[in-house]
Amino acid sequence: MIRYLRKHLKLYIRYIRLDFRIYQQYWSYLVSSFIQYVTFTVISVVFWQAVFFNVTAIGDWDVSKLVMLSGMMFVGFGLYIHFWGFYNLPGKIRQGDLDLYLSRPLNPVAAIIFSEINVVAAISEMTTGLAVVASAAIYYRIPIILANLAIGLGLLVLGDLVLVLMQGAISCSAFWLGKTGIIQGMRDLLDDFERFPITLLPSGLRFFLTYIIPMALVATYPTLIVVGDIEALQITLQIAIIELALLLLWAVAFSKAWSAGIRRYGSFGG
Amino acid sequence: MCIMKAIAVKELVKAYRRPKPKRHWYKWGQYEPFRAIDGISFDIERGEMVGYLGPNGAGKSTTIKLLTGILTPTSGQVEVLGYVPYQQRYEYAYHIGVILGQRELLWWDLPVLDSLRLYAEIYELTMEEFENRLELLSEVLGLEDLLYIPVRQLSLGQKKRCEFAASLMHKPDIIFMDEPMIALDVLVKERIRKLIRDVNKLLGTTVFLTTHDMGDVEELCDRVIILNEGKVVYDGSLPRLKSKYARWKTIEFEVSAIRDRSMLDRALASCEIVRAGGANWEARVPSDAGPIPQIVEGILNSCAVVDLSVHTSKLELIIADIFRSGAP
Repeated sequence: MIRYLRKHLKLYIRYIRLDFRIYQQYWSYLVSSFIQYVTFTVISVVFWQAVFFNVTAIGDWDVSKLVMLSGMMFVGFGLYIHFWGFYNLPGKIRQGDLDLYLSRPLNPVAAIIFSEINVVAAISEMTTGLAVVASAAIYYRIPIILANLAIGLGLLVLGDLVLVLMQGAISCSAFWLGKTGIIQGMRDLLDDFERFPITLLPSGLRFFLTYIIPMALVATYPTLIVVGDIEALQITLQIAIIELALLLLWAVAFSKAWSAGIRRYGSFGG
Repeated sequence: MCIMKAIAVKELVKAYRRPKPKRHWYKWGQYEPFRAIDGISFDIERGEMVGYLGPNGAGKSTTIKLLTGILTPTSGQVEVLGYVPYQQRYEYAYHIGVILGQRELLWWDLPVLDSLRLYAEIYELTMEEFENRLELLSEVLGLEDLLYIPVRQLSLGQKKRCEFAASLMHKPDIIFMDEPMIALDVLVKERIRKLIRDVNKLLGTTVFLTTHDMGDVEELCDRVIILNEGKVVYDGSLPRLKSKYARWKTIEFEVSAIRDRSMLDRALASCEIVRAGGANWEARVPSDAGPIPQIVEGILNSCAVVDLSVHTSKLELIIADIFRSGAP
């Protein structure tokens, strides 16, 4: 088992090096990526500044928390990018591209993730996010307790893993359905809620975005913990338990879907 | 099943469902069962080189995918080197080399060497093993000038050579090749055939090859298995196939002048003329049609012959006959 894990860790590092090598081949891609992140970050901040030009707060959310929310969202998305292979999995299933992974001595799920890794984009997103969080804390003088920051980021990681496994399960439906664009499109529509404070929404929608499609767990709640709005240990524990339960649920769902799907895999296209 | 065998297949079935032909545009979503592989059985000993032949859609690639663990069989048994491929994929994959003609093995955007290093890591080769094998394969396949070029800039044939290196680097016990020689020129084909013969002879590697190029079969394979519509229709040695199923002999001759046309026509009366007129002639004689020497004598007496050869049917023709008839 240790040999297996060590091998896959080495492979992960090898794939990261390959990703850097691709940027060496296409240096303009690196520059345009950087411009994209800077532009997107500036637009997010300007958007909230514009929203709060005439108002000081919406509900419990003032501009400082919303900028912080933007930063947390970037961190979460940077982590999510590591698993982009799941997003592109339906195409691989449909075109028979899993053949390559199934006939080599490597874990096919790990290979799917590693082969689509875009570490430059992931690091850029996470660095941008942490920079926005730090800048907001300094500019708006938000006292940040390190323990809160650690707990908030920890819950964000858990929440992201829930979404990753959910994506994996959705993508596995391609073993049966072939094309999954419509289901994926419906899931993608909810991504926008990552950047808005979900505690402001009506209770039904809030419940849906916390317990069913847990967008609230990857930005809103971690942000509230980092800024110190959720201090009670009981509530923090409650969020952690929800996340762990969802993680377990989606891990089982993904595992079952993958095992059944791979038995059904048709390896079409040659 | 016996562990000493390289491959043991028994009553193997792979079934899919496929759309029924539609007569009306509104009738859709109707499927019918279809057996791509229909109860095949065969054993292959270690060190054998086997050609697996069949027309398009016969189930050759499906068989290779079942043998390599890519596909899960619908029913039946398959065991390779003592492993059940679809159940023990990870351990099993260390022992096999797979070349699938339609699948890209190399990283499109990167120099070839980067992909080969990745494969070395996947197969857990030490740096020394990697360098030794790379040197050997580079020499045999002529890769020295290709290693530092991004894959996207290589020709199809150059890419194939690099893919061979990626698949053979870990010294597999069995090589599965599905149409490996597509798009290769004659010289590269010859190099690769020699490489395959050498690894078979020196390392005892078992070779399982699908191809439409009968040159590959004649040069590499001791045994052929012919598949048609998912069923094995022939399994035996290549010489036996030729002697048993060669229904024709071919007489090819080149003439500078025809001295007596009516004599020539009489000589060729029992033959089917494939090519006639001009300098080059080709005639097919049913194997049971009578003595060839009399026909040859008639040709020699009626024409000024520059060159003449008699040979049994080409392998392509024998195989095509078997494909057409469904069974030999």
